[in-house]
Amino acid sequence: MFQEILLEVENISKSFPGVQALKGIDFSLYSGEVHCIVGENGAGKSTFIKILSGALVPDDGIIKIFGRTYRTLTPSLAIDLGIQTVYQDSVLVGSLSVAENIFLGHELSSRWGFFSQRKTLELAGGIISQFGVAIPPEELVENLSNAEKQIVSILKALSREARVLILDEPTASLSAVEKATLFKVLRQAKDRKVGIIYISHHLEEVFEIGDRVTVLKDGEKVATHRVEEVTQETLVREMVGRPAELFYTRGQLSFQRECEEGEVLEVSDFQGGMIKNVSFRVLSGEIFGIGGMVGSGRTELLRLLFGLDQRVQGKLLLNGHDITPRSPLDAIAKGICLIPEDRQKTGLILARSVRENVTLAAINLVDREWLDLGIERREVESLVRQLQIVTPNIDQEVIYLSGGNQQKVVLAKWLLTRGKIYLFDEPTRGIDVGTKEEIYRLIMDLAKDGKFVIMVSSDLPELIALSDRIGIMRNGEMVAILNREEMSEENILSYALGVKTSYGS
Amino acid sequence: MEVNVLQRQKLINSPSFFLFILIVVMSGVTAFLNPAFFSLQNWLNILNQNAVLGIAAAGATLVMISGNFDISIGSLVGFATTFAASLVTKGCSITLAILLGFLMAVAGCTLNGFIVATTRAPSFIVTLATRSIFYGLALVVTGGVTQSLGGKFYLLGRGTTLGIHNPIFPFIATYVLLFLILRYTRTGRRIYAVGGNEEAAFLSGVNTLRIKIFVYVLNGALVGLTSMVLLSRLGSALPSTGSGLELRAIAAVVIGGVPLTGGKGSALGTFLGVILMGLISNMLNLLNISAYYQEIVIGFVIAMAVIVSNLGKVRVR
Repeated sequence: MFQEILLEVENISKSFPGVQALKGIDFSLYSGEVHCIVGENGAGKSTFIKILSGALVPDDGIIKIFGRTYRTLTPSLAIDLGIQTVYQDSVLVGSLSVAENIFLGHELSSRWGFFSQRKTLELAGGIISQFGVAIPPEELVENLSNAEKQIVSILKALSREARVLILDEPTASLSAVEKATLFKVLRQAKDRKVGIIYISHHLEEVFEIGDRVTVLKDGEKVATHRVEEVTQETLVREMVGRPAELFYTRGQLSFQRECEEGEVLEVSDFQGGMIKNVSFRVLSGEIFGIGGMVGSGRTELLRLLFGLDQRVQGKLLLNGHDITPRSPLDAIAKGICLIPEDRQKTGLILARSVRENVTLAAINLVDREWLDLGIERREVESLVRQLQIVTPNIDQEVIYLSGGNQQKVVLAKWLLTRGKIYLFDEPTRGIDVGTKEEIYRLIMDLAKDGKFVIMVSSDLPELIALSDRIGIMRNGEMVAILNREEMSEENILSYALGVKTSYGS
Repeated sequence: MEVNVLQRQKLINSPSFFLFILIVVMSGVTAFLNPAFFSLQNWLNILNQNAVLGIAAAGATLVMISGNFDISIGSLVGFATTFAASLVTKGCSITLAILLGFLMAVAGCTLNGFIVATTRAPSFIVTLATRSIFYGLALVVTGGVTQSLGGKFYLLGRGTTLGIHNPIFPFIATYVLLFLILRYTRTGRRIYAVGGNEEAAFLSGVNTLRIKIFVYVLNGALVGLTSMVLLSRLGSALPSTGSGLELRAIAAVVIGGVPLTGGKGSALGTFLGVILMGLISNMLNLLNISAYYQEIVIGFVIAMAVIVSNLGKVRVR
């Protein structure tokens, strides 16, 4: 069926400080084939395609393209060899037309050497109709839907004689109809002997468009299957199957806690944005984990609970009292804290000192204009000691601190507000292993003190180790709530990917 | 050890430190060439001559730390001064005229702040627009004719008290106020936070909208004060009174260490920036160098200030 090997990699490895991102990956791609790559968040999919597109240099291994062997690629060499990558957030220029975007970087000129609008429109129109798509070539890209933008990105890649097309989650934001159009374009490309590497979180797509599928797990290749010889269940099992010792070295902490009976936080029928009718209860002293794939609405749910974004309906009740926040300030006054995913962008004022960052939220709670710098110093210094924040002094700008210590500063800020409800979004992302354990301990201390902890995490071992129960988000809904006995990576992924749909079945 | 390196680097990168060294060196050279430089009288002259710029730059410091600009203040000074002076020519009492002129400046900046905070339009463009409006209003008020106070209202701009020129008092008082706000008040903290990272500030419960409006209102009060000191000194006003002030104020603020993106800066930094700009004129005068060269030298100093502060950034990263 497949005549020609386009691309072959052998024994590719890549490590980043503290993480082995890829270990000895072998992979091949035939012409006219769609080869899917699946794996958990952080399995190494992105690193792998970055190596193939020349954005990252592998530590070890070789890449064979059309039989020629390369140790490393550069982005321009990859493009010259016909390897085109289309990323999730497409890189198109909104203020230019579809045609101009397709030919951006290799513009067509007229006989006199000027840019030729006519020729560009003509040729682009030809390409678009060849692939059976109905997008006017003269339309500005900013007026297109997400799906159309995605398709234009793909056409742009194909127009440069792409022989290998790499797609990173192309359907992340597409509707079913849009997805069908996209797949039509991909089948056209297959017919032209283009090899396609397709990364997706949606297993059903693998069976719809894929020819072969490779499963990555913690940077290693688990298996490559022909799609017709494998089931969704097998894929999920392979995605989570993890050597036992890795799991236990990460969490040598005691996870046994007793939940104080009595205090209860109730999230009642929250709705707004992509979030649909989410309800759950958290006991004080409990860590309620939230799992799900990227884009399933986990962050959006936390934002709603913190009074950000437009809430259509829903109530937050603490022991039956309505504490639904109207704004972040209102949320803080009601004891709700949000430790956001991207601490540099939304958690910290990088140019200001540890001291000013730690007190920034608490100063809004006391109606006093004049600051007592002496008290401030004492409070901040005691928190710095308590959380073991490594900083030369509390006047150090937080930009100079390590990721883990920056995260502790964010946490210190909320501890100072004496909050009762802590919303963590990916609390250990980008934090080194040692500091991770400290963050885990701090989160568990909060629960031990009788606080309510709601924690979103893509790191499944972390989620399972810390959580008392786990709610699974999929497409803006909470599709399942798992208790201790039901928690397994396989179970979480099954619900998150929609392999298991109705809870309890 | 790493700590020491960091500390030293921080001190060296601190704009105030760089400015202070520059001022000391320049003073030394000038004093060597002309001993009159180090007289008390000369220093009082420098303060007096830069009081107007200084008060305006204090307002610009607040606005720029919050991550915004106000390039309308030159025109607004033109409007506030001509408005007050024209009231006087129409027989209005001097006190009322001064008060109303002051309020016009506050109103103008409040308008700026309101637009910037509520529409999220870039402040540079918003104040570019109102700059034109204020200048037009000044033209309408005066009909293009110089408005004279007729020899009244010397208090703020001329004369001395206890041997110190009167404009020095509001100048110094402004910087004491600026220092206290930025260092010791909750509002000051929030201004830095909004300029440093507006979203993080908002998520920490800061009412970012109110802070932005407040910054512009306070800037308006300082523009009003600037206007009245200037009017008192000149004794008359034209629509072009105060023209170019916004750029000199921004220059002083930038020399004083506020990045264009905001989030950093201090009262001391801007004060030294103003003094440095005044010092350059003063030195060149004392050394009998044509005033024409002053602009060139000031240009060099601004460029140097920006280059040095960006060099620091490269080293850190």
